[in-house]
Amino acid sequence: MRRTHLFSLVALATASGVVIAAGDPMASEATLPPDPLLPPTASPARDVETPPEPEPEPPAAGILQIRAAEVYLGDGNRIEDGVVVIENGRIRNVGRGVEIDSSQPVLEHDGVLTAGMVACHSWAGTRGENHDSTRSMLPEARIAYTFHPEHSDFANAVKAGITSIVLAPTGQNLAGGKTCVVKTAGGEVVKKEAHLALSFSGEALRQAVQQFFFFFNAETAVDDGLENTGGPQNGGRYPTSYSGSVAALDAAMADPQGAFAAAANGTLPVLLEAWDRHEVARAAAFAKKHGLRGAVRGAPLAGEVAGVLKDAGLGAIVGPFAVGHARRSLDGLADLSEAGVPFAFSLGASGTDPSQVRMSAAMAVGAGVDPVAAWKALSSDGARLAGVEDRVGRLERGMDADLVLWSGDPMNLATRVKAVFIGGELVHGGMQ
Amino acid sequence: MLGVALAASGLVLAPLSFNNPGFAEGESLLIRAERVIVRPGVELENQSILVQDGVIVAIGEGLAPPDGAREINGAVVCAGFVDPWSALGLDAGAARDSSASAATRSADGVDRWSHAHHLEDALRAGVTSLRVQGGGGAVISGYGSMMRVDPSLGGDDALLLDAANMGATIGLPRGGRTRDIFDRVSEVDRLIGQIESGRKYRESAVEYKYELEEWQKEIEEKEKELEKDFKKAKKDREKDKEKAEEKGKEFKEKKYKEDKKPRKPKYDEDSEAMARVADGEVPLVVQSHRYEELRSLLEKTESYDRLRVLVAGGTEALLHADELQARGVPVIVWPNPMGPARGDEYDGHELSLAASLDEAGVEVLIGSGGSDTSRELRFLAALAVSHGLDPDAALNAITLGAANAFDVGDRIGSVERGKDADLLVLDGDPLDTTARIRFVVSQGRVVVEH
Amino acid sequence: MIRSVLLLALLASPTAAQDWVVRADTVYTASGDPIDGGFVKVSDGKITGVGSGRGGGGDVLECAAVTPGLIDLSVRIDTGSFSVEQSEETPIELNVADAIDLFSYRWDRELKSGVTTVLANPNDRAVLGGLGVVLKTGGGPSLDARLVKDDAVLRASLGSAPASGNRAPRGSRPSSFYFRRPTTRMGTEWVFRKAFYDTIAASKDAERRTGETDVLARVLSGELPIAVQGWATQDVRTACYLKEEFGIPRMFVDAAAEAWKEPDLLVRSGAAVVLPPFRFEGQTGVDGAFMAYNTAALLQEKGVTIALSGHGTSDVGMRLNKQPGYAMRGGLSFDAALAAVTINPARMVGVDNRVGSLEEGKDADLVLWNGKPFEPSSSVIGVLLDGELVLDPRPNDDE
Repeated sequence: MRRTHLFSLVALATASGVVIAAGDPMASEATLPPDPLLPPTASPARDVETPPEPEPEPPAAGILQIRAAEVYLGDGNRIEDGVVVIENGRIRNVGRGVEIDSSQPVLEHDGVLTAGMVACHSWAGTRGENHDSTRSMLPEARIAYTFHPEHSDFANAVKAGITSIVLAPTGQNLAGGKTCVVKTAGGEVVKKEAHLALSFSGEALRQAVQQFFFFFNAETAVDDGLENTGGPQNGGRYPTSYSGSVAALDAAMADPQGAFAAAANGTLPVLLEAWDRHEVARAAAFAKKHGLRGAVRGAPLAGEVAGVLKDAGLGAIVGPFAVGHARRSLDGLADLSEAGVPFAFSLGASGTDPSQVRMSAAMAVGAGVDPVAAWKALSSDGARLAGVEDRVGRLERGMDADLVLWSGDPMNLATRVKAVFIGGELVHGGMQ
Repeated sequence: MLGVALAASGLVLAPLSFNNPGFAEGESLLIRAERVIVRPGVELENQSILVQDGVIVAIGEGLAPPDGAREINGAVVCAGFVDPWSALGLDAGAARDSSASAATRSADGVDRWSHAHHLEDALRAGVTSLRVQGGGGAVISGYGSMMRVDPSLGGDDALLLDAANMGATIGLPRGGRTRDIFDRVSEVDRLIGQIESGRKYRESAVEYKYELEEWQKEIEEKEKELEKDFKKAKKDREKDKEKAEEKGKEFKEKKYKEDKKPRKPKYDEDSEAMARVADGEVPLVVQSHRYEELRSLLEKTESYDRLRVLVAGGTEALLHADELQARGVPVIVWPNPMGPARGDEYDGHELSLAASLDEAGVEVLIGSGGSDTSRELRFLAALAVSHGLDPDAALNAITLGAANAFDVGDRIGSVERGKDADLLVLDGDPLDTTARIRFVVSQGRVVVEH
Repeated sequence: MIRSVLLLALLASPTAAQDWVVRADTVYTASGDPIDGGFVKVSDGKITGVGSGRGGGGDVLECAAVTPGLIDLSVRIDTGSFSVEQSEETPIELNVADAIDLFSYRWDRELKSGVTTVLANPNDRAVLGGLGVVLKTGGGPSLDARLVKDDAVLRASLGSAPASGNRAPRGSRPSSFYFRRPTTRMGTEWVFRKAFYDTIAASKDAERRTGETDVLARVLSGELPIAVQGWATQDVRTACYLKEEFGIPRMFVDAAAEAWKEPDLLVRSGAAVVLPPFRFEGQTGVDGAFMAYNTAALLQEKGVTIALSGHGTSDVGMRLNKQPGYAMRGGLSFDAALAAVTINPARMVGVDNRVGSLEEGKDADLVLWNGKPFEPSSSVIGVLLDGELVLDPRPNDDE
């Protein structure tokens, strides 16, 4: 259905070089995902690891050109009357003086064109599947296989202009597993293992007391990568205290295996769940001690420990901020930004209205964060903290063609999403 | 101390006058702007606005500032925002009180000193007045009040209109229990019952007045008759007296009895309040969300032609759009992206509700949901615009529309001669959240400047 | 591997400590007789002089009395159940340093009331709960900046605290660690003794050495003191008997409310005592313990080394700076009361080389009073921590 639409679009545009009017995004008959409550369609399940099937009848050259009144490149630079050329799902060219090939389809957009937004953390589409309560340490678990790509969370995210999302385990496991980055339409897994998720939050300790029933003796001790937490009688019981959790994680890093080894040698960044300031400080100390890169997640008062984060080289993933969010936390974000700590926004729990991501950025700007920094948090910095900066977050040759056409400056909350492209395909919005 | 804190935060206080509390008497202000939004949809370019004694006295091109006037230049001027659905100034207990009655006055529960920091935040975010409503846990919540936000105004000085509306809540979860449809609809019946008692109370008051007049007329006439016959009666009486004395008998006077005086109906403050509602003297704001109770409400209020109703919340109001539009019932929405509704908690999270209602011809107002987060009002309006609401309708929803709905539209809500000078000076469009508010003027005083 | 040390970067280096001359009508050094009309000189974070007279020039602070900064061995500021490892009965190697919340407002509250040095312990939910650290209640925002002594004390607990929440399995297979932990005093004592038996066995057979036995070996050698919580009489007795059974050189009983019932046993075993805060009702803590008014005086008279504690209370009238007053009302002498909150606790945990008295070379931790210390009518008006003025006794207008 998607492809047919693109054909008609191409035909129309080629035939008349038409100016695309700003239509009502809600009335579009573009790719709305099927109702998740209905039985799955007959089409074969998409293998998320292989690239999409090739077009049966590729158009003339698979090229689409978009000219917009203003183009945000995602790195802080903006150009007027910019042109983006898309070919086969990637950006072939972007710039001011890019030559338009009139034999290829051209869209004119009287508004702003940006890269699709990146939500740096969420539990979208994974409700009930992202917290395994049988064990606290499951560092090899991967969330990439647990989500349903047609869940309404993703469709809602698309409508709000979010094109890539990090899916993460909850902070209730000491080592929850590996996060992943997915596109919000089509279910493509951009990065199967984006971070190792560790938790320095009291949540994980509480869970250990309530749920990790692991009565055993030495014979039945299970090898779960946790070698030594203090003696033969402890093989497998999970820490209920901060000291215990630091000891357990230090032990895992002492002779690191698997995911811990990847984190130790720098190939896998870490996502550290931490809420109170002392938890953030503890997480930062751990990262610094073991030379880990990545970000803390949660941290409403991250701004008050900005120096600690900066010193450990970590970023911060905050939000989403709801109406009435504490001023102290918002003011802290300005401090974080000033201290040069990269930050990005979380989408939060499944079912959260994705408008909150852009609203969080707007509230941050209202509290004094530089609007350019706030936009980067939604795009290029978000991509960097998600580890996918080579593919999304900026408009540059070779990057994925994930774009959003806005009615105006996206940092203005009143701006509407006019159209969203993922991989060069129109997935939402108003081309009639 | 409060003054120091306010000053440090960027709020600037001008001397207050005792005769017109809050108004900057004897002071002048001249604001020059490239774009003046008089009211949504009506704009002027390159105008000056002259403010004297707290009131807008002139709008025109190239006005000369009077001596001693403060001059301000800006890109855009618009009316200060008016939040039509707030509880700012009330503590949580009062806002959700379940034992309120019709005569309860929200203004009685407002503590501006404890909430000064929230008032400051709201003022800095451009909200110059709001409607505060408590008693949110009761079916009849009592009177709400229109108040100015400026935290330097204390108590009564801040009141724009004390009893501005009657509040009611229908179908909301109470005590955390799920409530079935009959529970919810029966609350409509309770509300109507109270309106009816109010109407009857007023009727009986009017009847009493009429009957009293009638009775007094009768008395007067009787006395006149008496007066006429008096002399004759006097002679008759004297004759009788003489006769009796001649006969040696006792003389009894004939006595005149008063007619029964009509009894005044007993004073009942709740009925008094509901009478005003029934007569349309104050509008009734009903917080409600679901289809069934909204239908019941509209049906059962139809026979009261003077009753003015507004719906607050209205998640499923779109299904009644035709009726709402025909009866001129505005809907106050709270476009708050807090996540999906769970179970019975319908809180109007649908961000496109405002747009849909507006398209269907229903008047839309935007408020902060009866919380203390008025400072977010501008963001909420912008969100509604991003989900399809016409920008002029959005601006109306937080300025003139809100002021008119609560009978203060003659004083605030637009930038027009004769109105109080509650104004914002911004460096861009008021609904553009990237545009900063440079000055906030309340009653002619510059209370915020950046 | 014993445990990990928190090495946090400093957010900002603390302001350089100033030089001060503190002049007091009476200087209570806790290392000798009080000095009338005396001074204490402070420079670069240390005490550089104590004596009678004006003490020379410089930035002057004046007060009615000055004492050393107060020391609390049982301040109980922790992150609750997250500060003690419950997945085993004896997480001996874990150090509470990794569980401290330095951002808690409670530290500042203690500091401003005159408590400058504290022992931070794990919460009492395990029989042998882990290692505690001695730290200052203020200073830089990292543990490094505040640490006085790492691995200072091993924490143990008797009585009902380590047994609460544990239960016997009924019928079905036991499924959580709550079923493996002691439910009675008998069981608690058994865990304690088993740990020490294993340590003694390990000293004879190197195969049985573990990180935990290494720690307990240091307790047995006297290098590491052990603090045993025991509110009730039977717990105080148990602590003393255990000390004698294993020949543990250094032990103090924390929250020993009913120590007044066993003074002779305490003397015989050599255990010291940290008393909980006095309560008007007498009934205090858990296990129905009752602390008599004259507990401190009685113990002192019998020759037991005592320290007082405040438990980090929010109650202004019950903080550590008031506790000596209550002890004196029960008959304790002023000098003994002063020692009980300064030099005694310092010695108990082995930090008396740095704190606990006003002597040249020690840390400049001073408390300034507006009257005789510990009297109900006196208040703490000034506090110096490592030479930095953290509570300014001077009135606002002459800065």
